[in-house]
Amino acid sequence: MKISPQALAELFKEMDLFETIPYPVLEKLATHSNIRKKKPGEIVFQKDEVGNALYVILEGAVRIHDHDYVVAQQAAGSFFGELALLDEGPRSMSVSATTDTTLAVIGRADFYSVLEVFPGVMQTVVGMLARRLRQQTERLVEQLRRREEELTRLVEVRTAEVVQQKEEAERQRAQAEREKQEAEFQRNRAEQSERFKQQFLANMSHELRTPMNAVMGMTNILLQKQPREDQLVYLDSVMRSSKNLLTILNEILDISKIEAGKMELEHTDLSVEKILEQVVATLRYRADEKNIAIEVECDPALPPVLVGDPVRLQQILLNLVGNAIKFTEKGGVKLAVQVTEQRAEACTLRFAVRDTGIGMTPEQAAIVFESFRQASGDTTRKYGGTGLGLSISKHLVELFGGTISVNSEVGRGSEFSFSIELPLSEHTVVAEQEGVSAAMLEALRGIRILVVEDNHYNRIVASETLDLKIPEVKIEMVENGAEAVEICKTERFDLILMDVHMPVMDGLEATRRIRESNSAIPILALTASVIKTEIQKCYDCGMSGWIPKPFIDSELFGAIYAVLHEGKAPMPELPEPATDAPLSGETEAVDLRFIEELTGGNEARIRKYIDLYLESVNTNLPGIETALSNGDYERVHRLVHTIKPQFRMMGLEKTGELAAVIEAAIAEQQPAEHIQQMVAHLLKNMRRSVDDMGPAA
Amino acid sequence: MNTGKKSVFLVDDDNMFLTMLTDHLEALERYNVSTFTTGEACMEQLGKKPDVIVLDYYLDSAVPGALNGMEILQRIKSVDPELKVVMLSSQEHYGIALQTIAKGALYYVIKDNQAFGEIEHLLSEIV
Repeated sequence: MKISPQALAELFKEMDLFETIPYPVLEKLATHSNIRKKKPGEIVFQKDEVGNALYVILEGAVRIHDHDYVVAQQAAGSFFGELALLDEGPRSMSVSATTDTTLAVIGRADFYSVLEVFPGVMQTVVGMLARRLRQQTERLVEQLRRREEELTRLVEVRTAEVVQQKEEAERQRAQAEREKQEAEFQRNRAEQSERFKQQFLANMSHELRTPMNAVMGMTNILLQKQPREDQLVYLDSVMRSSKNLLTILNEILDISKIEAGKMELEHTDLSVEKILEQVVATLRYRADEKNIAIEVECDPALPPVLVGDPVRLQQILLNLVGNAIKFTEKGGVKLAVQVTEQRAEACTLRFAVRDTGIGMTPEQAAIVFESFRQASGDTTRKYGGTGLGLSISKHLVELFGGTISVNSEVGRGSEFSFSIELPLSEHTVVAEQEGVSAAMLEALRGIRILVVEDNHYNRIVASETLDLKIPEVKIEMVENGAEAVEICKTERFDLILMDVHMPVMDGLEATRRIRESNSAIPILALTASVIKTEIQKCYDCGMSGWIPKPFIDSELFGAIYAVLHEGKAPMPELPEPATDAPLSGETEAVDLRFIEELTGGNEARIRKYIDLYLESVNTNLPGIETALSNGDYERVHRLVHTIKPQFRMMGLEKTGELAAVIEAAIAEQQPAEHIQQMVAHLLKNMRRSVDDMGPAA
Repeated sequence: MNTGKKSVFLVDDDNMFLTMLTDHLEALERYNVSTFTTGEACMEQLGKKPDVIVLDYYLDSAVPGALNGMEILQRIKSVDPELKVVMLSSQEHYGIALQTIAKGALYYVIKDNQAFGEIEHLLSEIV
């Protein structure tokens, strides 16, 4: 495009910038202008270049930009680069053509030389610049505002997301906490019901042993009274069933003792060879009944006397061999013992019981030692038993310090084995346990026995058994301790058989009273309890020995013979004296961790509870003292019972335990002296706790 | 006054335990707790229809001759067989627990340091 100065001047005249300028002057300016052509995208000038010219767009269009950021678009008839008219400085923006564009370029010097006679034009230029700057500023501000809004919105969205995430996390935490509490609660309940179960089982089996005593004893008496042949069959069956029932009861009692951690092993001389012989002798008839072989293999290197618990070792082996016979239909059962390690002071023995029975799958073998579990659900129906035998055996082996294991294959048989270490004895032979011989019974001829027993049937069992076996025995029977004390004042006996638990006056108190005037007469306890602390109580009150109920003849007569003719207690292994754990040691320090945790560290509440505790001690301590000195044990029991949970809250665990022991001691009417001693210690602990926490605020 | 809170009666002659349990339950802000140191006092207020009663087994240490929890349990049940009762005791005997359950108690809580959490949980489940 070729433009004449006249045409250009006409164009200038149309523009705001030049509208006040006369045409001839514009024509002169036009002649000083250069025409430039730019292609699309071509740069007119770059940002930061020094500029000294004003551009007028004659044709086409440009964009004003900073790199990619476009500030404005301008079309034909407008101008740009006007800042260069004021100041020869760097361009603030770049400008490039967006299409084929023709520009008129007016140099700064030309502009002023032509227009210096028209100062008004400067005013116009400045005014326009100001306007344009304001527009640009407004646009920028607007853009900033929009960005800010966008940012705010983004922040809000993000914040909402974060809040949501936090809420979700909190919800999950609360859920986890609830689940944890639920689990904790269920665990506590399970533990509590487990405790109930243990106690229930122990009580039940204990309660059942007493009538069993009567059933077995009476059956024994009938068996010895020349029954008819048909009666004999029935009596045999009663006897066998009773024995089975007694075995089951004993197993339940054993497992509850084991699970309560109350089972202890004896340490006496034993002969492993004899135990194996006895096990086989006991079970041979059952193997014979099933027509299977039973054999024993005893390592010749086996020392003749070792130290351990013969009764429990025999129990384990009886159980394993009994099981093996039970589950074997053909072939046989082999009981073997091997010395696997021999040292100067002890030796390790491996016992193995192999059978050719039905065997077990690995899954069955894995659970066979669990309580109440048998290899399969119908085992109980088919083979009988409580399912406790193997579990008891496992625990007993563990008490011996060994482990039991099983190797089994379905259809081929099983091998149960365990290794235990037993110390060598200083003795070379095991002291013989004497059985009941005719000579022994003869030696008892004509003795006078007092039987103190509240249970009618047990009284009959005891007297009939004694009457049958001891020639010319004279038996007197009374129903409780008070009657026993009374009759002992006027009559003379060679021996007293004393039940422990009786109404009116129990056997312990009766023994103490009888001992006041007669220290020599042998008194044997008849007790269904085999717990050491119970037995210890019998010795403590002056009894000469004890016979477990239900008794078997050899134990009864053996004990009577031993105490009358050998002058020794029939059960020589005295249980170690009972130690009252809570009594040992010094007084106990207060520990506030529980109430701190309960209150979440709330000082005011902690102080309040301490004050309540101190107040409670202030009332109960003199209350207990008074009741104790009045001999009002029922009141002592009530007060101790009430304050017991408070000790636990103050972290006085041992004192709480002691309170429980005192409660039990009072309930069992233990010797007053013993109770007084424990209560004194309790009071000492209570005073110490008051000292620990200071006077009430 | 209906605050939406459940009404709980606590009956125990052990003031310390009673206070601690009350504080513990009130802190949950879900229960209106009324406390009694004898069963007889609790019986007088049965007309207020509590949602649950937490009842101690022995109640005669502070007031000698006061009726024990077993007797109170039976009296409560004869007035309102549906009323929920949780028994509380430091008696750890199975037989006693069994007796209270047989006489209509819902649960039997042993008064040890776990009792607070256990009662909190029980209440959230049964009322």
